[in-house]
Amino acid sequence: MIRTYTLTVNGYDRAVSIAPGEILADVLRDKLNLTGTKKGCNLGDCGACTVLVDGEPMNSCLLLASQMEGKQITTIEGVAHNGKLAPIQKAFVEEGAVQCGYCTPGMILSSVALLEKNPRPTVQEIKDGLAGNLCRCTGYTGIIRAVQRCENYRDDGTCAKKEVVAENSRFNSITLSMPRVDAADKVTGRAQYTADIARSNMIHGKILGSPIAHGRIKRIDVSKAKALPGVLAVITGADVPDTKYGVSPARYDEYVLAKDKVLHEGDNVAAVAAVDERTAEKALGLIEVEYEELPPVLDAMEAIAEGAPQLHERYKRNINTVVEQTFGDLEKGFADSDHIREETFIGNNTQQQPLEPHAAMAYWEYDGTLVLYTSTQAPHYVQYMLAHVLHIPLGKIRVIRPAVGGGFGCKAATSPLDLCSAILSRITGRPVRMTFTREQMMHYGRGRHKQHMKMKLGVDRDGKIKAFQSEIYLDGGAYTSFGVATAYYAGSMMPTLYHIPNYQYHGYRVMTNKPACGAFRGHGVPQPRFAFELLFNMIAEDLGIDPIEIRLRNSMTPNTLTVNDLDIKSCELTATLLAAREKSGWKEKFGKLPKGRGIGIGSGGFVSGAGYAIYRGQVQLSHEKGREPFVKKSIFPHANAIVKVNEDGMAVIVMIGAAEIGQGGETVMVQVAAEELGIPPSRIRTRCEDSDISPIDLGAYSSRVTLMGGNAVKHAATMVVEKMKPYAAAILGCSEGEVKLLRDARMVVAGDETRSVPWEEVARKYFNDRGPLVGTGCYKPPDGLGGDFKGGTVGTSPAYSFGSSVCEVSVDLETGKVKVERFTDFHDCGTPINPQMVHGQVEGSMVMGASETVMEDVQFDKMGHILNPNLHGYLMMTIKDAPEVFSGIVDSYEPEGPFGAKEIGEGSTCTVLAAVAHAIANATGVWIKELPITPERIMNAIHAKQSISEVVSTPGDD
Amino acid sequence: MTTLSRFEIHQPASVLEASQMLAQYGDDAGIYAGGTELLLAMKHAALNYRHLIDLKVILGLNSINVRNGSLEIGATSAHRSIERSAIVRQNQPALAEMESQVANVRVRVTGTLGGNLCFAEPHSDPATLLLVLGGTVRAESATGAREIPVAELIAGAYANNFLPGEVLTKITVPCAKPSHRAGYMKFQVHERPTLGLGLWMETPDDGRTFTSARVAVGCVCPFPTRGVEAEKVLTGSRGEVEKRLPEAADLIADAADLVDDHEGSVEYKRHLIHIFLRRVFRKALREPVS
Ligand SMILES: Cc1cc2nc3c(=O)[nH]c(=O)nc-3n(C[C@H](O)[C@H](O)[C@H](O)COP(=O)(O)OP(=O)(O)OC[C@H]3O[C@@H](n4cnc5c(N)ncnc54)[C@H](O)[C@@H]3O)c2cc1C
Ligand code: FES
Ligand code: FES
Repeated sequence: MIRTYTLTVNGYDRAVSIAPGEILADVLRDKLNLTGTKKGCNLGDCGACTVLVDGEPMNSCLLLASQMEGKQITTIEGVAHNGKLAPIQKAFVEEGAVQCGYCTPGMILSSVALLEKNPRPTVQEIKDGLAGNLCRCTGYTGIIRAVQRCENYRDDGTCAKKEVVAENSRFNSITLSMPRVDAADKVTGRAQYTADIARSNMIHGKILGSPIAHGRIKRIDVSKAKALPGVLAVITGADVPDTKYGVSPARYDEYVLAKDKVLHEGDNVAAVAAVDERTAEKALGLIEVEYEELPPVLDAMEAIAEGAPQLHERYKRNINTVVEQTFGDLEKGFADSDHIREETFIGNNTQQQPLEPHAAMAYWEYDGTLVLYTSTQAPHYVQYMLAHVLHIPLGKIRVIRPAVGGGFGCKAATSPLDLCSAILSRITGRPVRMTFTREQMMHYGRGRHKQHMKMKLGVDRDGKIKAFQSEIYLDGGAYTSFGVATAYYAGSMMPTLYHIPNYQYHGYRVMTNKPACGAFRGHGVPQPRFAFELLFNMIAEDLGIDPIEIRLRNSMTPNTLTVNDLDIKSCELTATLLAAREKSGWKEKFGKLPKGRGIGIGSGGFVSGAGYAIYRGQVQLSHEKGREPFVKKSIFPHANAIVKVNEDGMAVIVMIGAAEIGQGGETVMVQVAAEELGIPPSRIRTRCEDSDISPIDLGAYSSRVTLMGGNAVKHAATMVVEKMKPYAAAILGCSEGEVKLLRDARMVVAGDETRSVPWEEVARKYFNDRGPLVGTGCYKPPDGLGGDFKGGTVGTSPAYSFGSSVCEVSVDLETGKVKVERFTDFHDCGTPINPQMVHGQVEGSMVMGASETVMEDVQFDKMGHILNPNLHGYLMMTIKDAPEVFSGIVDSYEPEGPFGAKEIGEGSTCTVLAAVAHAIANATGVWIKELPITPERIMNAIHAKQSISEVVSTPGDD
Repeated sequence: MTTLSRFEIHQPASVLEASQMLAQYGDDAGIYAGGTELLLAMKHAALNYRHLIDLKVILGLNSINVRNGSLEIGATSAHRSIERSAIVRQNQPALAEMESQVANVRVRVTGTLGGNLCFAEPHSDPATLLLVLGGTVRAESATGAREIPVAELIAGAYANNFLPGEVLTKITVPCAKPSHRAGYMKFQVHERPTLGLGLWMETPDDGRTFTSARVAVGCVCPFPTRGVEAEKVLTGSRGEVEKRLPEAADLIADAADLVDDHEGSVEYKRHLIHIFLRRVFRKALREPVS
């Protein structure tokens, strides 16, 4: 029975009609419009929904709203007072505790409860207080720092914080650890994510997933669902276009909804729109589907066997991508080697698990324009794919990307929510919002390919690499998605770290009846990198060479063309190795630690943006013209920006379609614009979320935003300055060539800085005379990148990042439990635009990578059902597991990057897996070559080694 | 599911009224305490009650007292309040410590000990310790009340032995005596524990000899299980007992119905029992565990 209840929220009584069964989180969000309370799992696992009830933190997704009468409820909106941030909020902003911001409200409320009772908590007390509040971005490091230093942000004048200034005095706004531009919104609950946005008359959509992993749909009956009051539309495969979609244009193999076969558990079968979520869910239960079950194939190595069940007709033996590349003379390389070792490694199927589940909301304008709000990393590709599937021009599609609560690759492709919400909205004429549950996210997948890796490495007696051979089977799941590129990346990036004169890579991506895999932070590279680095460490041990030393002997050097034609420009890998060795105390520790403690090294790196766009051709409806022949240059600019100066000259708006997904892209754009314009960043705002306003940028994938977006913004800002110069000259009474831009918002006469004019005055003059002061800029990667062989484009980039991580662990040798204690990481990311954000990326990568190494894995039963489709079964590191992270940046300058910058977000992941695995090997005396390295695997390996040594030590004794 | 099906929620004034409601609505009704398990199960449609009876509104049902040498903990006491209770810390420190390690702060603040025991989720802590501390629970219904040893409360994974209409009202735990040694340890990498091991021993001479012992294991098996045979070998002088720990560990593993699952194989779980029996033995004696 629906009744009116009085809830006391943030100090005010609010009368709300509530039905028993309504959850507090939903009532706060949907009825009181307090959308700062987030839902990351809806099952008590993540803490994003934390509120305070009478001062105590509770998960509001596990509370009945009707039982909250008479209690004081505090949400994130109640923490700041009269527009003033509370000390803990300031601390989160200033200490870099915020990235995507989705965990932030819960983190802050848990911190408030903790600090209330204990104003000076120890690190351990902070970990206890925030346990179970998951964060996927920060590695918890910034959060712990913020809680510890909260005191410094009280208003009683004791604030010990120092003003932030550029670390490199050549700059003003570059190398400046300014707080993120969106941080204040994120700590107050103001930031709006897709699921927070409602439009009038909006309805709710849901997707029905297949309960089986492989089967033919024999019959679907939706009549009962359609008849349910409140249901507005029900669609199945028969109602969606026949056009297949995907990511790699050569392998579009997904239908919006299954037309004939389902290929994995959760495969999309039908969708419903109804007046509310509950009705939509009920309707799903009324859809009758009859399946003819087919045997599933779940293992890549079984799927390639003759006679194995086939998923797609076009992929014979289920092999969807074949890469066979040889560079140099492999045989000779091995013949010249003094030592050769061959090992097999197996990776794990991990998922990105951003805290914010995918969401989309679509409606149609009366002129036929589709408007889609979506939680995406690549708004332009979503636009392109909607045009492709719905057969409407790109120009008729407006994509809006609200705040995004993390992606790490699983939001880089167009999701079924994007497509279904658009289709359901077209049918019903109403805005349709859809979200994934955590379980649906895991069924949608797009996580890391589990790779089966056979590697053979030959070196001379000094440890110099002579030849390297790699054969990899990638378990791709049921669809291609990004997988073609994954298969190429798994090979192409290997020769970027060390000089490898002879190299062979054979890669095979295989289809299995599991959720499709895609691009996950480090796209294809972390597992082969893990395998290579571990093998390298084994060889170092065989030869008695220190593992850092062997790397130094092979380390990549600047301005090198690799054996597979990748053009390395700036490269400071050696510096990262030396610094990590020094700072970590490697020499005092390696080989000298007590039993159960270990230290390990891993290096890694990544592209700073892919050299080529995902689709070939112009920006147009894909059906208008077939794929264009490949040319080694970009057809249109990959990043495009507009810099518009406000009419009074006091504000500048930067517009670029680059996606802010938590990584800090928009803050970087602001800093680049500020530096180039010579004004403080505080005068700059961004408008990046709306494709109607901001020009195309290909998106936040392949670590491209800083370099490519940054260059586009820089060029646009240069144009503004150039346009201003004649006006400045006129005011200053000098020639245009004599006008000099200072960095404090002044223009002066070169050589006589006393003759100056404020920046805004020049801008106003321009406006008075010429109207809008606007600059545009774009960035195309250099022409001619890559070799002339099949797949020569994948792995190309304007620039490459490098890094080395030293990891220290302790292992409980009786249970196999690993505690990752510490990372010492140094990276070459070119000029760090914002050092604090660079460290934030590294801290997040270390924890995510360590978590992947020791605990993460999607597990399946024999029928292909996910055994752990939630955040209590799928383990990720919590704040209790969080190691200490030292992140250092080595001096480097990348000529192709804006102010010398390149990437950090993905390269920093690539070092970690091997560093952790090596440290575990060092602590236990056993090499474990299969991920994740669970306690049980460690114990088994230790026991196996013990029994071997017993056998060996008692010869002849049978 | 993201939403719950509709139900009515009732606010009984007393335990009697609550049990009458339970009797009236039968299988359609369930008790709502902290809701941290119940609402999860309802979201998964594993439970589909049409009537929920909110036990937390009954005054005094969350009190914690000592009476007749035993702790009496009201069924709706939250884990957090037990963990923080000076009475519990003083009279049964092993219990307070175990409670401080349950889940995380937010779940401890909301979830109750009564709810934890009634739900009988295999991966939980309290029942395993209460088995060795000799805990009992009180079940009240409209027709009377009875004391049930914790060992008899749990019928299996997610199953308890209450009769229709019965409400758990309090948990009774004998207070620790100077001659008692008790401890609980768990092995945890997941959100919930992989193994829990509780040990209680009586020692008249400050740990030199042990006259009786109780040991129980949880999480590795469908429900917390006493190692009755193991208890027999855990008496005698300290040296003897220590020597027999491996034997006892095997007996515990034999008694428990170990399961192979994503948390580990049967062999690994048996191995963990060995390791943790030794550790919890030291811990109960307040010695460094490893
Ligand atoms: C994220 C998370 C982590 C967790 N980790 C742990 C852990 O590490 N260790 C651990 O032990 N537990 C853990 N738990 C379980 C937690 O302890 C329980 O959720 C909690 O104690 C249950 O209490 P409740 O009051 O919320 O029960 P409810 O959810 O309200 O009820 C549970 C069940 O018991 C019945 N019930 C409740 N009270 C009574 C009563 N007095 N009489 C009769 N029937 C009753 C209800 O009808 C229902 O069926 C975890 C839970 C979550 C959500
Ligand atoms: S949404 Fe409530 S804990 Fe995750
Ligand atoms: S900032 Fe914590 S989840 Fe993104």
